[in-house]
Amino acid sequence: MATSLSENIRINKSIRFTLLLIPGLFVFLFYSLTFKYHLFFKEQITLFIYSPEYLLSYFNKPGGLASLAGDFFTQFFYLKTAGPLLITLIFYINWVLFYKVINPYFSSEKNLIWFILILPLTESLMHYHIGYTITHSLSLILTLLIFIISRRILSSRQKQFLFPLFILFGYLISGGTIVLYFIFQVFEFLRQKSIHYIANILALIFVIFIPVILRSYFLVTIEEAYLYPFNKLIYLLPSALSTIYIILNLIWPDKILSLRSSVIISSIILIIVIWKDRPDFNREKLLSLSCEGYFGNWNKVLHLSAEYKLENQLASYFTNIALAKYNALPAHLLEYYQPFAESLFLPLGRQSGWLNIFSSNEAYYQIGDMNLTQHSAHLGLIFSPYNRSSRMVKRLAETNMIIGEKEAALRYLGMLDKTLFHHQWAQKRIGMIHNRQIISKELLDKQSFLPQADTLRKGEDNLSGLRLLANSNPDNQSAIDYLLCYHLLNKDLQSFKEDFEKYFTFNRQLPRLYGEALLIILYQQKASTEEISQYFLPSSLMKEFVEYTEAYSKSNGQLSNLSNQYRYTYWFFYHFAQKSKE
Amino acid sequence: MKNLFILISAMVLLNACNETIKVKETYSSAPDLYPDYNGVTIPFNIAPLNFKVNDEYSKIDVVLESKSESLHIQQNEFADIPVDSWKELLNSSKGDSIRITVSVQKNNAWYAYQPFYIHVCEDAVDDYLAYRLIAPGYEVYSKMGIYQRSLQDFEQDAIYENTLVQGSCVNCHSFKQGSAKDMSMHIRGKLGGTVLLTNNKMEVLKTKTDSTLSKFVYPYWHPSGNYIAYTLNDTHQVFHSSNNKRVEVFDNASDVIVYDINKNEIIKCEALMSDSVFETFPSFSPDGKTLYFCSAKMEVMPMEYTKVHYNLCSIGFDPESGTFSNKVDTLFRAADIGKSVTFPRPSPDGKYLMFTLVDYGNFSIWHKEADLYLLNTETNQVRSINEVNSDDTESYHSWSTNSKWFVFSSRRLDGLYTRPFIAHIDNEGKVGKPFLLPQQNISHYDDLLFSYNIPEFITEKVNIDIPELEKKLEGEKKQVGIRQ
Repeated sequence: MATSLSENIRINKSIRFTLLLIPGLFVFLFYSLTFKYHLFFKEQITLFIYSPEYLLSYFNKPGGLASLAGDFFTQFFYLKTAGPLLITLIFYINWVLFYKVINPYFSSEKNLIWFILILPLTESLMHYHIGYTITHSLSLILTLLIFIISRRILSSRQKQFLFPLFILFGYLISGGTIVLYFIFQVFEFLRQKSIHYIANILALIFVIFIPVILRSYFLVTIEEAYLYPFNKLIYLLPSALSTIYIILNLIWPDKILSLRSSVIISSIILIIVIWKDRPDFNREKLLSLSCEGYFGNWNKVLHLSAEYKLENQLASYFTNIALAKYNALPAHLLEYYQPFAESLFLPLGRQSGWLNIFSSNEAYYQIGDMNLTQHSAHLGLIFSPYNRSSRMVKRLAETNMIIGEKEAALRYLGMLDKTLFHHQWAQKRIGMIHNRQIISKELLDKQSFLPQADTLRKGEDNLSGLRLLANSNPDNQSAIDYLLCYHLLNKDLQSFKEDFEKYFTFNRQLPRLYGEALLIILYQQKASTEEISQYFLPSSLMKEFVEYTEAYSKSNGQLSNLSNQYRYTYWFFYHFAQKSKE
Repeated sequence: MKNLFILISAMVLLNACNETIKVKETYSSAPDLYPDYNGVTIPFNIAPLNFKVNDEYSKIDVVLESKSESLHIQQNEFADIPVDSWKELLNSSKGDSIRITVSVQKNNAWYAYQPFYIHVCEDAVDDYLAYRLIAPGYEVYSKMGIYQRSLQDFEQDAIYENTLVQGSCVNCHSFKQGSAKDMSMHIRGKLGGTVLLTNNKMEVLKTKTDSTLSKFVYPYWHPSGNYIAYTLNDTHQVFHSSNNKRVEVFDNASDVIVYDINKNEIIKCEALMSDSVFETFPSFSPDGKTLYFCSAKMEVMPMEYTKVHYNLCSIGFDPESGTFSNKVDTLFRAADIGKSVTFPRPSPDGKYLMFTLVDYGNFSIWHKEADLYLLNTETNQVRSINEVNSDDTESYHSWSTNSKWFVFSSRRLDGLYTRPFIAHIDNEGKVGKPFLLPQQNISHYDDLLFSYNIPEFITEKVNIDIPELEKKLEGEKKQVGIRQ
């Protein structure tokens, strides 16, 4: 009988343990399967350098320890499963901590751990926001820890005395979440019915005034002073939900009912919030293109792009770079969504989103425009959410290697050398700088594309840049295709014809796209047969053009009648593609 | 918090025992240092010149000796000299040199270098240096700020960071003869304005008027504190395509005006607002009776940008009436030698005028050939300051209040980020070897992705009341008028 009872207990324990693993498994799988690029990208927009001064710089803002530790852990997102694992680990830590905080209020409830599941779950779901980082998680964890530790080790009287000091300490290490500590502590005094008004008022004054007083030192706005490192109110949702449990407990005599109500209310709020601010799976797709490109998997970029069929400027931008990598830009350009020439170069300006600014160097790098690559990479660096980016520092290092600025390249490589996961990459390139024999082919190719002449051009004047590159090196097919496609996407056929005649060499097969465009302009200019023959246009293409024009005339300009047969032709694009008013 | 960490680190370092070394071999040369402090001239009130040797080693042993004091330190990565001991050493070495003997440990054996010397000057340098830290991002801006650094130690704090006003840029900080109580700076953006501190009283000005070209741009304070000369510029930015040049900023038009602080009005002068000439970079002579500026014949921009050559000019100014003389003098005809002058800065004692010389244009900060030049105001002789110039850019510069030191920005370390160097000039006009602004951690410059921009000496800390500034930026700004 006794054996059977203990076996039952053991079985119950293992069932309970297994049950506890299920939510963590859900969190892990959610991030592993749906947000892996998103997490990887978070590493790319941070840079964690093992340098004392760099590390101390984290303390220039409130919540210094949370920020430092947050970036330390974020660097592990570089590894494939480390991100989901870390978030899962944080999920369990939060679960335990929230349990410890709330347990005294509902000590009679055996299944409390399950009733509060929604709190750590909400926190882990916050990570699907690109701006929510491990720093935010740690800020919350540190605050909960401060509260739990102070509750355990201090007597009520000591707590009242040290309450304000804990707030100051907490603000410096965990930032704005220290308000939560204050709220918890006041609730604690209410629960214990040991309210010491002077201590509470003093603490309240501290909570209100510490951020205001210290903001001149930290140079943050009033809003930031109270929220830092939380830059969006929604990120404080887990903290807000946890207070619901305690408030209902304190005001509702029936503890069981208050607990169940807390769960219901929290769940409803969470569902509404998620509904309003849904996970952005499209952004995950965009980041997948960006990240696969970063690893040089351009074939995968094309594969993913074809699979996603996104009608998105950034998706087209990465797709076009991938096509150019395989010298296939004109061959497949119109098989993908093309929002005119803005899918070739991303406009830079105050209205551009940071993700566009961050990505804008990639096209310049592809065509060999190193000055604008460098400019865009600098902008990408300072416009990334925390003004730090391992990816941009790498790009700056590469760019300076290509243009022969050895000292500048070594400077960036020196920074990467002091990181955990980019150290080897940097070492390899430092080796290349010291020994040109081992320099990579990609860098050598880019070096051969460097323009010899100097001109001035505006940042947004991509045409001048492309023409200069084409002039400097007739073998720079990427630049020539970008130039010709730029005209075609802008429907500027006259410029296309002029640049085609100037830069296109017939030692490569005439891409059908160019042939289609030439036929339009030659037709518009009523070119003679002799003139047309100079372009080596295939007779089959000319025949198709005649058929298209007939079909177009018959269709009365109706898009649907032509789309099946001609939707990927330039003729179709020329006639029907329209810029959206936006 | 940061200071607490520094304190703990310092205590740990100070508690470390210095091992007595037995030198296995003594090299025949002095060590190759980073930063290069070998033979530099420093003021007696400068922060410790921490350094490392450009070599692989596990420990570094440094003995610093004056005639009466000596200091021995031994550390792992670099020589991190304690501030207090360093101060004592400098005070005992005024007008003399410090002899520094460096040894490094490699594979458990010590190797000594030949000693090198640092010259300690009796002339003090101002207590603080103000500068902008800005990423080389050119046209759009994210994070930047104006900071002040104590030159006697390593403490830096922010005067203003642009994160306080979303989407803003902060630039052109300027002080009245090093006074932290009299400052001008521009905040650009939606809530922007020109922030003016006069004897610590803050005002935010709206400086664009219907009859002037632009808002106020490059400033220079009149020594009386009653006026500030500003430029008005129609500025554009373009990019070079060649590898060794990056960016060019040019004016399609530019004028110089003087702002009368007390009367809140712009004083115009026809000679400084010509339609056929670009005028820029004003500065007042120490007696306040002369306004120096740069002037170039207008060209079609940007096509003819390499033809724009600025001469160094001056015009008389009467501080009593706030009026100009009719005659413009050309002090240095740079155009005649195919060069262009930027940033003329007179020394406070009036003996010299320092400027930057480039091949063309006015954006010397991105010109590799940019060098510093010195005009002797008594002899009118001009010379290149070879003692401080390098193969890379030397551009913005400013004088200490005692005219004995000047700080300049240079890209010599990596060709990309400007760093502040300080040099001494003696009574005979002899310039000492410059030294890089010392930092506690020698990897400071390696890990910093921001340039030091417009370094200016100040005699004390600037104290801007941030809440007041925010309130003024959000409120109605004071519109400047035009003197009729």
